Amino acid sequence: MKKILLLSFSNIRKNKGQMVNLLLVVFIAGFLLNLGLLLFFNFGKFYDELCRKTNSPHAAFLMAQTSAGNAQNDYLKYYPGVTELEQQEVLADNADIQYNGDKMPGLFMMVKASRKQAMNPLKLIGPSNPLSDNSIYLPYIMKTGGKLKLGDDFYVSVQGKEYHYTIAGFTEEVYFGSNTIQWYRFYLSDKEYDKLKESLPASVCVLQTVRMERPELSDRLVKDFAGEFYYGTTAKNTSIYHDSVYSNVKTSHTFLSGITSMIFVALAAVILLVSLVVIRFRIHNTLEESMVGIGVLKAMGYLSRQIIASLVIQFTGIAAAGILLGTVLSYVVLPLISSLLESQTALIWHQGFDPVISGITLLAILSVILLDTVLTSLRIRKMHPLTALRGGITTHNFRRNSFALDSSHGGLTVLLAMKNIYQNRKQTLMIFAVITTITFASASVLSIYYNVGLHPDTFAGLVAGEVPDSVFILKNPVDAAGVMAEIRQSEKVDKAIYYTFRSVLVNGTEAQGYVTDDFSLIRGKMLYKGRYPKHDNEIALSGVTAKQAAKTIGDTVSVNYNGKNEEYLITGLIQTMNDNGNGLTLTTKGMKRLYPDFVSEQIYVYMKDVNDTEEFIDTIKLKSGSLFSNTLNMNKLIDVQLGVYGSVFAIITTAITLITFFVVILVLYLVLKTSILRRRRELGIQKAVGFTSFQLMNQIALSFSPAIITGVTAGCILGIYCFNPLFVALVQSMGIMTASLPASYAFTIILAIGIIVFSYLISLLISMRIRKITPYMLVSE
Amino acid sequence: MQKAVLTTSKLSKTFSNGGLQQHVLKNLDLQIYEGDFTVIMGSSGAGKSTLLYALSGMDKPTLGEIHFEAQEISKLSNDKLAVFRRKNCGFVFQQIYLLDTMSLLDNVIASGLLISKSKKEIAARAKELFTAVGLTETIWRKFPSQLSGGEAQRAGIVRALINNPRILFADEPTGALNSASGAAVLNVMTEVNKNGQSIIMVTHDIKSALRGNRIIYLKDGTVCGECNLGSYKEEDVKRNEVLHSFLSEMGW
Repeated sequence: MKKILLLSFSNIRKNKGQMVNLLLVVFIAGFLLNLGLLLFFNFGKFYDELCRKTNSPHAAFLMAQTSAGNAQNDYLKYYPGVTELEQQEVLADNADIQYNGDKMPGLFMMVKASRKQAMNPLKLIGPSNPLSDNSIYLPYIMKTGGKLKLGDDFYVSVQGKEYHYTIAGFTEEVYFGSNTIQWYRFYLSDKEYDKLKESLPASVCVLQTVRMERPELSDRLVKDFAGEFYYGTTAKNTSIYHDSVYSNVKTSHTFLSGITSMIFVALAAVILLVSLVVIRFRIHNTLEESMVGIGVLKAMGYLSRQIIASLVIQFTGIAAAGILLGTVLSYVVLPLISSLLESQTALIWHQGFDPVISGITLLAILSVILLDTVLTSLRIRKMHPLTALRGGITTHNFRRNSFALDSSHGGLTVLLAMKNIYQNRKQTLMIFAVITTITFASASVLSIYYNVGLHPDTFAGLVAGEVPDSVFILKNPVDAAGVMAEIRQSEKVDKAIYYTFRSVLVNGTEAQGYVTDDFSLIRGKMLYKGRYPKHDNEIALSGVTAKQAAKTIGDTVSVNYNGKNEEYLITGLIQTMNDNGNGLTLTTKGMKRLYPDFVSEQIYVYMKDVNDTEEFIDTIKLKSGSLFSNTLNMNKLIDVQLGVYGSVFAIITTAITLITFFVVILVLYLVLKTSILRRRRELGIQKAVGFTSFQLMNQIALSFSPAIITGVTAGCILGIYCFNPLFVALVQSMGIMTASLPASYAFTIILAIGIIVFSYLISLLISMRIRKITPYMLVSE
Repeated sequence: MQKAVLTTSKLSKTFSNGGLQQHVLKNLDLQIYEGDFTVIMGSSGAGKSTLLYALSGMDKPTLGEIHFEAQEISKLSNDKLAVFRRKNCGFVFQQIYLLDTMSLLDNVIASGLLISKSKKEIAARAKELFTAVGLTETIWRKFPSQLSGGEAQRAGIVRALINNPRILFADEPTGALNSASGAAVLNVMTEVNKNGQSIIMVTHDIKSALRGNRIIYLKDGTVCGECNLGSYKEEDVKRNEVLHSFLSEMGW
């Protein structure tokens, strides 16, 4: 063992630069993988633990006081698995809520701060002031995502009237504090609460919160409760009923951490792949450079396995050091990531050392590297000591003279560079593979950022389904036809349709039903297979719902609404991220089979020019404002809501792009340094006959350019055509089955040019060591 | 009167190694004349190769000046020296140093294209030179590893001559060759010298030295003596005697 260690250490000493290089590549892989795994496995656990500590609900039901009675209370109380039930009066309504410099529609719930709560009791985070007249406590998301500060003015706009408050503090809201579910709980002083109650008598509601033996039991409870008291009785189209289930709330809090962790893990896999290629390259070079040395060792009596073991120890030792350093850095960086995610999660996450996750990181990377090292160094076994002593020459080598200078076209430097490429085909292939992979990863992340952060329309369509320019929600659906006629009269309007949602049951599972007259008029791309329903007996199910119901296109499915069951023929599959991916589309006629009196209360408007939206909404509101319970400027709403994702993704994308460029430097450094060392004699000869250092530097840099240019091109093409499948793979668990997000050609081209120019300049910079090679070394060494 | 192509003035070269200084060339004043076949001889460590590489711009002196005609070359930057070498110098090394990754023809053309833009012209001249040194077309297309030492060294001479250098520098050109191959290489060099090519050659070998017309003997980094042998003639006993007597005088 001592002998083997001696060999390993002598190899490491001899190749310090390359070993540091490998250490850095593995360091990045370890850093990203540990970070990704910590986020993936522990953020969700942290949320569960926080819910347990704060005694937060597992399910919540909100209904108008007039609809709530003992029956509901008893149902929940005696439902199997329920361990705790809390009921309280709240003021709740749909409203426009101030958020991130704008107003966002949401469901607000005003609560008396003085009232004791068993579940998720009031707890303030950070500095606060006591509640006084006209002041309010907001959930922490309003600070992190809503960009509101202590002492700021805050308003909610309910039923056309604005209520202003001064912010006195922010609360730890584990259940009612997510900007994707948009069901917020605010705390008021008793006096202020009573004042508001007087002003909004129709908003007096009952909130019932439940804890269960296990949080996942709440899915069933919510379905059963809704079936019993909502779908089973007359459809309460316009009355307040909201429910939420633990899994949805948890997903809303962990969505960003989930997708971020996926990106980190995917990138770690890419970097690990790079490090494997780098190791193979290093081992091949070590074997070539040390061929005679290996011959000597074998002649001395060393066994092949001892020499292999020395290489394995050398590479796995360096890798282990790199992974450990990367893991340590991931713990240092984690608080920054946590604070970055806070804007969406509103959760303050402190992660300590996790030996299991870090152990998995270490073992996963190390075992792959170990396998790669062993497989690559196995060729030592085939090396005969005599052959090795002769430098590996076993027979004459009748090579082809590629790019003969007398007959090929092109300048001298270019032709010599081409000869280099041909003679180092494996190395060229390696650079091509590495550059393709990291360009693909980087281009994909840039396109994801482009779609989430800069032009979120299509992404919003994925998240929210159909996204028009504006939405008019009527208080009474009876007024819809009149408003529709008025909207369609406007010259600024391209088209206007009825489009609304109803929660229905499909084979006992709750799913959001999207209802409109003619699906050919919608703009979104929810459908990914088959076709939308056209007739009243047709339906398109979401992939998740179809899977749960074990149905596919051509099957019939039973849908329950308002206590009535109807059979529909499945014509297509749609995707949605809402309701855990459960959804379906029905035509208005199809919906009327379930509920003959059904009338849509929502009008979706598509403008000729999107810039006219705000003015158009104001014009319609001026005429018929009293008829609407809410009007939405969807583009503005998307900007506000997805702005948080955008800023988080901007930072992640920047970090990943920097990592990409760093990996380019590392790989080029390794390859160029090795190449220059190997060609030292050749470069000396060229200098002796009159080549200048710059000519040789240029020759070397140019010889890598084709691999880099083709690699970047391939990576970009993959990035453009394959980033949608990659994105789908990242978010499939959230209900997205297919995506047709537009790739960012501008970003991709900028990235491509950036990598190519950067690589060339870095190659020149690294090749500057050629200047130190003097022709005199040839004769003096 | 002969024209001097290279002139050194107080040329010194000192190597430092771990604080230890070794003065290899000491205040050397020397002139190399156009058209001469100058041979530098001396015992091991006398500074022969150091002088050769300093004169050719492959290495820089520690002190003193080297003039190539009117141009001072000892102070030129590395890149300017490279340009100087490609225009004015040709090299023949003991270890040959052809580029293993190129055919012989490409080895030569790669040097030629540093000066000429016309591949056609260079290829034609290369082929002419190959023929002149006795290498056939099948050999031009081969790689250095596929040749005998003599063939490779003759190809080395072709590479050295491709740019019509003012001076051909040769460092023990026959040192790694058998006697037949060595003689063939020397014949080529003698032939090109007859055509007016200036040559400076470092050698230990008396047979090789006999090809020169001027012998410079170095000892401890200084010129210890020199002798003129006159033009080379085969089987010239007198030249042989003059050289032997000069060398024994120098303590060879």
